[in-house]
Amino acid sequence: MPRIVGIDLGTTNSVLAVMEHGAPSVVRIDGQSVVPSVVGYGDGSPIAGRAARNRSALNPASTVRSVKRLMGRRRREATDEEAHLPYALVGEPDELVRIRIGDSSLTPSQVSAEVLRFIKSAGERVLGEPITDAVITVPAYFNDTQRQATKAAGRIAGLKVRRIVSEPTAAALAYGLDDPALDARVAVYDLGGGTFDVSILSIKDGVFEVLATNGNTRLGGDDFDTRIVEWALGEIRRQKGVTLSEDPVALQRLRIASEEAKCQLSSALSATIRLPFVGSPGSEPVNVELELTRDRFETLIADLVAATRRPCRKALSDAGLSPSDIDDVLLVGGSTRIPAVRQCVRDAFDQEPNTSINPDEAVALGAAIQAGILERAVENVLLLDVTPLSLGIETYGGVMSVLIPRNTTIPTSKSELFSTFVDDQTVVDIHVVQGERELVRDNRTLARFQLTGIPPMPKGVPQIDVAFDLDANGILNVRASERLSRQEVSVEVASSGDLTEEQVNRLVQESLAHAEEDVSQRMLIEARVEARGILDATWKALAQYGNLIDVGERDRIKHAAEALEDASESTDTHAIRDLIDKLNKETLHLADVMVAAVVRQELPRSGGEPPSASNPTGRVES
Amino acid sequence: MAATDYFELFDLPRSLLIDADTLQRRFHDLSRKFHPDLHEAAIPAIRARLERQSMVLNEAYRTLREPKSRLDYLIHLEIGADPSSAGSSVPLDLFDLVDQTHDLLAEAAAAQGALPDELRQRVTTLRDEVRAAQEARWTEIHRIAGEWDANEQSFAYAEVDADTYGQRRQNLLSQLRKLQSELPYIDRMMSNLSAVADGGSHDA
Repeated sequence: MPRIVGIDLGTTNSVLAVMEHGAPSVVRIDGQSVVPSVVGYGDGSPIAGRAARNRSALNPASTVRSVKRLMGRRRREATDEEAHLPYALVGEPDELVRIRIGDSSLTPSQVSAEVLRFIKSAGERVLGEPITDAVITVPAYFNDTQRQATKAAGRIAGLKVRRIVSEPTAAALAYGLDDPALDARVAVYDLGGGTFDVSILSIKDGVFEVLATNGNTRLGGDDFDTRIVEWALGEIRRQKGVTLSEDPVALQRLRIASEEAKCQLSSALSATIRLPFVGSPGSEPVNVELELTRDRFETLIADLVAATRRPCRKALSDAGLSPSDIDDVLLVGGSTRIPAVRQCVRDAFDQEPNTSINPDEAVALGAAIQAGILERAVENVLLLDVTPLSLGIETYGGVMSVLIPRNTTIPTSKSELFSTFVDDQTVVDIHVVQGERELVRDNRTLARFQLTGIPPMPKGVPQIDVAFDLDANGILNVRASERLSRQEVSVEVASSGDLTEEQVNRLVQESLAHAEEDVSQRMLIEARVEARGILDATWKALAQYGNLIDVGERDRIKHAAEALEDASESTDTHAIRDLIDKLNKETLHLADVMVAAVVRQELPRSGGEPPSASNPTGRVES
Repeated sequence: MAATDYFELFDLPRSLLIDADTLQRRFHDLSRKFHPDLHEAAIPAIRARLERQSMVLNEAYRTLREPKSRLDYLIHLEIGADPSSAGSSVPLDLFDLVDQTHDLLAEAAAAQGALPDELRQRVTTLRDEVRAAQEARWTEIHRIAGEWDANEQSFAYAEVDADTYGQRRQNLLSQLRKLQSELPYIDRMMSNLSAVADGGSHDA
């Protein structure tokens, strides 16, 4: 099976990394470690990466940059963003935003998918092996919708997204991998092109435990660029009497020049913004040459930089720590090269930050490490991540009742009893929300569904059990049931990105058709790979734990496994799928027995007695 | 659905005095056993069950790590009572403090705009008083926790008979229960008074 790769899908740049002989390494594409997260739409197929960025100044309206800032956002949440974008946004205020390109409109997931597709195919050429599975990073403070939109992007690009990992957490993995004896508390300050995260982790015994995370998904280098652009527009108007803000091409050139000036100011005390022959419609072109000093720049961005202080304080207090408890502060993201930002970190954590990790590559390297953990190529390391935002349901008066508080280690499950508000209520609306505000309307809706068929009873009598299960992937399952009538309904809050499950599937099919791949062939291969994995696991389980079940059951499992072995030689995808299901069913009880053995801390090599039914700690709750 | 005893899960005695390092080490060991990331290749049914076990483990760790939730949990295990069932009337020993806080907060709410220095001073003073009450409660809980452990130990070494052991236990539990019922009031007073005392800055 090909390796799982790690991808840092950034606002400005993206990075691909893989595990190579036990160590993570960046895959250089076109000789560069970073790929610009830019997509250009023209007459032919979309182009992505450096080529797209290079032509962006000429085709601002058909070039999409910084699409990550739009991921999982509603149209009305993107209005302040829109003013600085050279392309148009469409959609109803409460719908997820779409981007207008020519006559069509695209979702942010579709645009991101182009970046991923480019990385996938370029990476395949470099590595000389197919890329099928990936761990993709997202800002720690991304909500569920934004995470789902990222997953959808991966799927559209033909990638199986094995895990979504938070960026600062990934960076911490890259920092701590080499030292198995590390015992430290670290803060990761991650200021990228479009987002800001801060995470506090405890690293001990090879376990990376996230204690708290906070951030702002709309704060980053892009905003610094915007401040320079706004300042420059004012200067140009004052000095030359020219208004450039109406000219998309001039604006795009100014934005690129501003970004370059910003980067120069990290090492130089002054930078020049040069724009030869810019003009607005109906006026003579002018030569612009502006001097921007570091002092001036720092004044322009002072409030933005200061806005990172509060999340740092909140993360520390959520972790129950003070700055002096932090052993190391890691800097991640290109914007942490800015001296004023470093000074802010120094003030926030009362210490000199650690600059030993590469701020552009650490996240991708960490994603590759998490990929390595999943395929057991990395031993002895375990990541325990948290859910960044509280999850709950709406109760009477539009108030959010929290079931899973923010910074809870995942996987986690929580249930609570609710009741009805009026007599003879037979239907209950379950409105699942995410966020930190008290009122539901200030938070984000993840799902709405109804529990019906409640027998008429006085208000307050029905016992409605609402259970939230949040798995290690951060996917939420919500179950609601009425205890007296045993009515039950459950919903997986999974496909709430910017596309429905169906739409994603169609896009995947389309992209495969474009690539002239045989869809059915691909499905057969996937089924065979899955069968192989399950068969290996089953034979291993039988060898280790077979003595814990009776002969009849062992035989039934063997039969099912052999049937699947045979079927996977054939080309009948359906039969393989059916037999996978059958084998899964046959092994349910064995799984119980094995888990009970593990829970009782009986290692298989000790032989192990059959589990006794009276041992309560051996029971697995279900 | 037999609920897991969190103390048993971590192989710890049922006590309020838990060594944080030991708890963390056992949490890490058990995480390595259960965490679904380390069982990607296992059959799906096993993964699902281990994930469930991981969920219980994380909840158990969260519960035992914090002194307050540990206290609530121990009382819940022993007498099946939840903190919310502690009754709605103000605990007698706190009556004065709750009363003063109520009046002072009302006064502060009535003062429009910036708080006069004199009033802010009184709020701060009362907050210090509440904080002292809070600390006293926790010192007391700590003392009882020590007695609890000593009682368990003497019983284990057969130094006391079952009746004496049981009576001591009941006695300690009812003391804990009283303190448990007082803590939410104190916490609420603390946060309300702090909000007013630090008013103006939104970073509280």
